[in-house]
Amino acid sequence: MKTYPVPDPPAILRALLLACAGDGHGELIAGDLHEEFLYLCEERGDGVGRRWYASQVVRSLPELLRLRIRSGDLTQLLAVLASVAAPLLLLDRLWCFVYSHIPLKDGLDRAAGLLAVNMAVLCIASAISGALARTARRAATLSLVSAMGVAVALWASVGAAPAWYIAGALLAAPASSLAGYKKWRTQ
Amino acid sequence: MKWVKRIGMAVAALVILPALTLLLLGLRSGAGRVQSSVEVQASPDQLWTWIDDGDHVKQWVSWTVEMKPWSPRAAVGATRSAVMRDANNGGAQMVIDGTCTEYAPPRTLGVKLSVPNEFEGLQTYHLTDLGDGRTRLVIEMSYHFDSALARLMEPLITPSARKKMDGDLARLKSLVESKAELR
Amino acid sequence: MAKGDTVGEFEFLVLLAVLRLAGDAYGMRVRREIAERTARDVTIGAVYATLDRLEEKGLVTGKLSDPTPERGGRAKRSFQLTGAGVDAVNRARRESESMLQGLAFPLPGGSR
Repeated sequence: MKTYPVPDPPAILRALLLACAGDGHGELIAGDLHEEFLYLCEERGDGVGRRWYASQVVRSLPELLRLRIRSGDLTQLLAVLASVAAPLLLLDRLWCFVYSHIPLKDGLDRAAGLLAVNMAVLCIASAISGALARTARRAATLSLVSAMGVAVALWASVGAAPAWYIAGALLAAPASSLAGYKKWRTQ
Repeated sequence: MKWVKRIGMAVAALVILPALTLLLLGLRSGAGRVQSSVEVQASPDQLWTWIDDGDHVKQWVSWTVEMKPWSPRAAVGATRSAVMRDANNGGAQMVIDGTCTEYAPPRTLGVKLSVPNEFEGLQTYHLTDLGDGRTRLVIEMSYHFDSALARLMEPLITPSARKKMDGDLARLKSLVESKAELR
Repeated sequence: MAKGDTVGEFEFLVLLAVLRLAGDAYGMRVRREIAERTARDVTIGAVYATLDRLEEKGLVTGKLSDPTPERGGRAKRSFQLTGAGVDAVNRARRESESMLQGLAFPLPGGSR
């Protein structure tokens, strides 16, 4: 008897669903859609199954995002972004104050020591944020959000940021977040 | 609760320890003093123009927008002001008032600098003829800030001020020597 | 009666679907039940958002099952009505019947 391979739902749409629905509801909804998808593929063909899956995911996104906001999940992500960006922005303002007080004024280049302080602070903030994750997927999400927090701070900063600092900061934030998850994750 | 305590301790360590360190460093003997020097292939008379004349000063002291001439004339007690661009304050222009405290061309120039509610300082230029057409220029600066936060940050400000002064003197040397070559 | 004791129209449909599915009421089955009986094209997101609200109101409770291969190795969460949920359905039905009393169906003047 000829057997057909079991089709898989479209990977990009499944990833979009999991990203928008969050860890809590995402897996349950993905499971439900998967079950119905297999049923439709068998009864009416792969094309119908894929179109139905896409329609369900896209039309469900607004409700799922609202659900995620109500559950406080998105709030936590915003808090992580702010907790990484805010200290860096405060430090940038402090360094502006320091350099503004040089008696015969100076430009926007920062001493390597001050950038090293920024780096240390962003690593600590990212590590603390990573420790809040309970699953590996959540840790990956928080590490990405930490990197976004650094990007926001770099964009809004007044001080000049050399290339080594930009690259280092954008890599150090997610790395520290994942390290914080590995070392201190909440059970 | 455990995490609140941990984060609280981290914040305290990140704020209190550095503040205490800065406070202690602010008590060191060289606090608020900057000195830098350069040797230039030029005579003291040639170099004197570059520190006395406003249009020349503008070329080597970075972020200087305008340097007014001495008033009424160059001598002890005369005044002049410098307008500087503050890139760290949104490009705002700051006026630094100067009063001549020593005027002995081509060897010594002393200027008292002040910005109300910001800082007061004394800057002196010493030119020494090294012979063979070379001159050593030594700049010494000492200053005091009005704001408590600026006084706390002094251990960070002074090294940056020295670095800036070194950069300015390197520019001065390059300008003086390249213009001397053209002559 | 407090504001949180009443249920909206879609919440009522979801409660009825959960009741009808008696113990095997999980997201996709609830969606299918409502779609088949009301001909509404309901999204899975709307169903889960409503189930979440109903659970917050204390009208349903959920229970997690083991993962199964037909669900891509994922678990499912089945719901059932609580006592408060049963009361809410009864109340909604009484209110509906009271408002419908004396009206003859189908109503004249409609397009269908």
